[in-house]
Amino acid sequence: MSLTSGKKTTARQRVMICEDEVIVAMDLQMLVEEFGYDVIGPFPGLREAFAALGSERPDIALLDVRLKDGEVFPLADRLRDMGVGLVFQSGHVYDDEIHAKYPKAGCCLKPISPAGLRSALQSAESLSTA
Amino acid sequence: MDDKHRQHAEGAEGDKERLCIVGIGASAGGLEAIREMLTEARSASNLAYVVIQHLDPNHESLLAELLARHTELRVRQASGGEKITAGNVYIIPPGHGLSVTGGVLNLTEFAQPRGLRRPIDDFFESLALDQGRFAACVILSGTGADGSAGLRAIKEHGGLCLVQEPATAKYDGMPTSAQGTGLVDFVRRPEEIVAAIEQFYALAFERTADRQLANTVEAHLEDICGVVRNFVGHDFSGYKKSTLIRRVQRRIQVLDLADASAYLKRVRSDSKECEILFRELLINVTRFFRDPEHFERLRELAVAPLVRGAGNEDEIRVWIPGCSSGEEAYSIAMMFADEARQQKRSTRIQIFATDIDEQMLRIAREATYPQSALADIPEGMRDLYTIALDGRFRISARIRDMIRFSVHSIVRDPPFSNIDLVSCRNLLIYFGDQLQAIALPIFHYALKPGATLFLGPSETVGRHDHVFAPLDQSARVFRRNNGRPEYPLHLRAAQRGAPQGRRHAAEDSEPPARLDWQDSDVAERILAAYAPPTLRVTPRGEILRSTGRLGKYLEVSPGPESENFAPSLARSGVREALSAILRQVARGNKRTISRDLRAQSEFGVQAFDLIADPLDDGSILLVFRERDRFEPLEDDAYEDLDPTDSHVQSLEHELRDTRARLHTTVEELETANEELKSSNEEMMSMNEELQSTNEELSTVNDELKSKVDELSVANADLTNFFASTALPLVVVDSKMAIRNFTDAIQSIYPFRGTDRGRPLAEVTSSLRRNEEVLQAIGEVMRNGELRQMRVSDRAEDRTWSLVITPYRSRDGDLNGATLVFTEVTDALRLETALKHEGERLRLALDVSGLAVWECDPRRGTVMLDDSGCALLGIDEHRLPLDRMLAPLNEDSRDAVRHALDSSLESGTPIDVVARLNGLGAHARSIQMVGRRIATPQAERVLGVLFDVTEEQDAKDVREMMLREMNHRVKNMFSIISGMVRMAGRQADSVPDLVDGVQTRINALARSHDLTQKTPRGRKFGLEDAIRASLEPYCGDMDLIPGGPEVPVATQELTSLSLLLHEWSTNAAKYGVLGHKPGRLEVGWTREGEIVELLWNEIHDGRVKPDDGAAGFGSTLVQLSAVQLGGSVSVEFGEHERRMILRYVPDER
Repeated sequence: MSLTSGKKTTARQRVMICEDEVIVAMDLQMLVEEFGYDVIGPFPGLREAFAALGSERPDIALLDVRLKDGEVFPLADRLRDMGVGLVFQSGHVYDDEIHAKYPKAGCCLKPISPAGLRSALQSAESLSTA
Repeated sequence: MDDKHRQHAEGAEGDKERLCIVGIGASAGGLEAIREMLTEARSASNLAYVVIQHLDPNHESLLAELLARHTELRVRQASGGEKITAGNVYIIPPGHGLSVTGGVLNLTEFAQPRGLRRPIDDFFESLALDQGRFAACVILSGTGADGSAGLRAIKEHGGLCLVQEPATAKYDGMPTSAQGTGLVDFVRRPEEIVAAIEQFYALAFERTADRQLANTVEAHLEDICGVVRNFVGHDFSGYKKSTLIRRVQRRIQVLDLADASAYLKRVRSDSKECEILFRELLINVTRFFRDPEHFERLRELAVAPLVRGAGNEDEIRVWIPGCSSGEEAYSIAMMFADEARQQKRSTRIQIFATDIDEQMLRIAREATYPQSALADIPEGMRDLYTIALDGRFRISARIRDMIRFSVHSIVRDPPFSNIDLVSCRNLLIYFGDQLQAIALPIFHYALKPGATLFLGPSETVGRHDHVFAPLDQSARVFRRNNGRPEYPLHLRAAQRGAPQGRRHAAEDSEPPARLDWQDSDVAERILAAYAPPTLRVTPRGEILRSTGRLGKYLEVSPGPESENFAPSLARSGVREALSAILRQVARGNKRTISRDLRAQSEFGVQAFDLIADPLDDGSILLVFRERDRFEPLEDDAYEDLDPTDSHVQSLEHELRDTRARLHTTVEELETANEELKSSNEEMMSMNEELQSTNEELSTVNDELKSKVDELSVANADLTNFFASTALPLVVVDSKMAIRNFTDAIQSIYPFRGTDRGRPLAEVTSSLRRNEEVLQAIGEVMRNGELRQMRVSDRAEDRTWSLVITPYRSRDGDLNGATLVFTEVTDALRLETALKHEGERLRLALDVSGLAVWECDPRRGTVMLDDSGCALLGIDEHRLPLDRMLAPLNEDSRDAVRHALDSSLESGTPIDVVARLNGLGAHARSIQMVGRRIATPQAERVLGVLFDVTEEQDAKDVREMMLREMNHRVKNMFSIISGMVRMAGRQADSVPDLVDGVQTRINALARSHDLTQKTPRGRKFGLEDAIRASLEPYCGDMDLIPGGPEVPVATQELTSLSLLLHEWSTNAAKYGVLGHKPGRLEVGWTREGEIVELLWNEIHDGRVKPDDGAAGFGSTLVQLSAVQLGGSVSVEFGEHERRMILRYVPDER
């Protein structure tokens, strides 16, 4: 089930959102769409996200570290391997780990500021190899 | 002297630090002298000392022990095989002699019985041979003459001789005898002796240019010899140069002169020095039967045949040139006498012993020698030919009479002739080649054809082997050939022309003159045929010799040979005059004539004068001078009996009888005397033995005295110790009687002084179990093992540790026991207190779960107590540090090591938390706390260990919680910020916005409250969530949500709460919870995993279906469902509006 709204254009970059908090997920979705991206998700857990990857291929992924069914890193690995630009929402707790594992990934501090998110997405967009 | 050894000694001359061996000879009173002498000796010098002391062979010697205390040198008793090294003193062991070869000491067995032993001489002789001029000898106090012969050997080989000043000696026999040889270099007090030796050798070594000195001596030798020649009349210039130089050099050293020219001056000005030098140059060693095996050969080859071949009238003539002090001459004389005795022949033997040294000849004529020399004479001859004197012995008159000693130089004076044997031993070796070449022809001339020449062991006939054929080359016995004797023309006229000096005494000229008289055939003939008949008689009338025809005057009658007296043989008419004239001449010692006598024989009468001429040697020459022709007797002419004549004759006959009886008596007396003499000799030898025993005993006595002194000191020490010590001590003997005790024993045994000797068992004791103590003493004395026990007094106030040790006598026998009490009352008290303290500590440790560990950094080991072992899971209590660290994980190991190191270095206290190896959460943690403790013995680290797993776990949990909390708070901020943002997009007015945000926050807060309020043990369920959402709206509304129990996970709560909140607010705003009539039914069912929640708003009025998709609330609901992993659908009935949530609850 997709909550994607609005028209789809091939030119628009697609952002996969993984976030298990309803409010936050919704907020992110709205913000990302406002920035002019298409949204895949939001997915509350890894299961859903991996399932989505079977049919979808995002350009950028905006990931919360802790998802409903565990930490996001297996998914992040997969996405990185697929060449998807990564942006993490971090609460400082996992910062070190993220930097070590995904040196190119962008980071947005919680709570999200729209401007910060935007620039993070933009730089992720430029890094995306898709 | 042995050339080989001398060269050996000279070869080592360059060596500055060469070892010099000092032989010290001492006997009675020697201990003190040796001590005084060696006290001055310094171990740093290059001198080594060998002490030869007469010792009792049956008594262990303490000499080494006694001397060691007084000298810094190392003193030890020789045991044979020691290499002599400087700074040491070697002591002769009892019952053995010592000799030295190649600088190594050897023990020798004595060949002679006690009393005749001469260990000092023996050692000095071997020392002289071995060390040459690096040997010194010292003769100290003692009786007898041991050492004097050895001294001569030392001197002959160029060594140094010192003697203790006789006045300072306890017994001056040995020093005086040594001094009597005239060969001693220094006479000193004992304490000055070492300095003298050192000075002598210091000079010897200082002159590295020893050669140089030798060279100057060589340069001046001619002059020095000249001075000696002028003074004593003997020319040494033909002697071996090396010997002369060495001996002159010695004198220079002894006198401490600068060089040879100074010495020349001294010799010129000092006649005494000239005399000393003369004597020094003549030193040679001689002794009875020197080289006995050679003498034995000589006896076989020459002496025996000579005696055998000699006729009654023959005289065996022997010449001994260079006889020195006469031993050689007496040896040969004894050998001849003994040979004659064995062959039962009476042979006349004349021995001429000559030397140039009058002083030596004087000794020879004296014929008395030190007792010690007796050992050299073969045993069979000793009794026969020597007479014991006090400490000396004399050669018997029979032997003495065979020898004529005279001053004679073989190279200067005319030689003897018709000699059967020349024995010239150890003289030629001193001669240079030239002198040797002169000497041998002289011997050739002197010897009869076929006669024998006997030389010393290192002498040869050289190139004269064509005239002397060896009979036994090794024994140096040669036979002269039959060649004509040639008078040696080289007897230098120049020398003969100037027979200066005092050497030409009367005795010198007499024997040759007499020899001429006897040996000329012409003279014999004249005497026999043309001269008046003569008789040579002793003053008693015994006929010694006769010439001419004596038949007319003497009557040969058959009878015992002893009737050899002229008066007995005289014919009538001669007898009276003879007796009278003999008496008169013997008395007056003047030439006397008795005229007009008539000798009456069977054939006739002869008128004659009788002349008696006393000769120098005590005999009387009787000359019968015929006055008239012989008147033959007519057959018928009988003479009347002359009464007077007959009376006289009968008187004379009586006299003769009486004389015969007297003679028998005298003979008996002589026999008795002889017996007495021999018993006297026996006594003398016994005396000698006793004397040496006495000497040995006095040595032992000296030693014992010193020992006693030491013992008294030791005893005083012991007494003081016993009196002063606070240690209670008892010594009991083998019968357990009290032998000794200290005053401190009073607290245990109330001994009094008189208790010594009482059995210990009889004395009352303050001990509680005295019987056990007594029993223990018995056991110790039986098995000899030390025993330790603890005893206390009756009141048990005081406790002692008792040590019973076996008391062993010097030979190791068990001879009692020693009891030593050590009071341990205080120690025991302390021990108990300590034990309590320890127990308390242990309890505290056990309760607190503390384990104690101790690290010994030097050994790298750790000690752990039981709880420590349990904590670490180790079995051993003492183990290497590495093994103790093994159970820790790697990081902890390093940390602990580092902490230990820094604690040892700087004393920083240790406080480390270490994790044991283990899996994840099961790993246990221990904390190690410790501190360095420095004891005087060593440093160690002491500390405790305890389990901190729980604390550590709690800490871990806390940290995890904090992380979680942080995460959640952050999340909360995100949610709120998202919520505000969303509300901002949606709200129309500010109150609207505030309301929207606030209600949602409240909903979240409520559901959060729920999680906290849920009673423990019950899980937060779906029903709780629904109730919470509806609570603000329903109030007292009778709404019973129903369904099976479905738990709600925390992560589901937000989504679920928001979803229910949206539904509730919606119902409150537009539906049945608000102003519209109706009711709400909430229920859920569960089929397998899927839960279906039915939210049914039942309106009283008709429900108008809407798409429900519009609006923010709807989006939120949909999203929440997605977040729950489920979906929401809306159904409408006529009066119902049903919302259905299907999801799979997270039940992990």
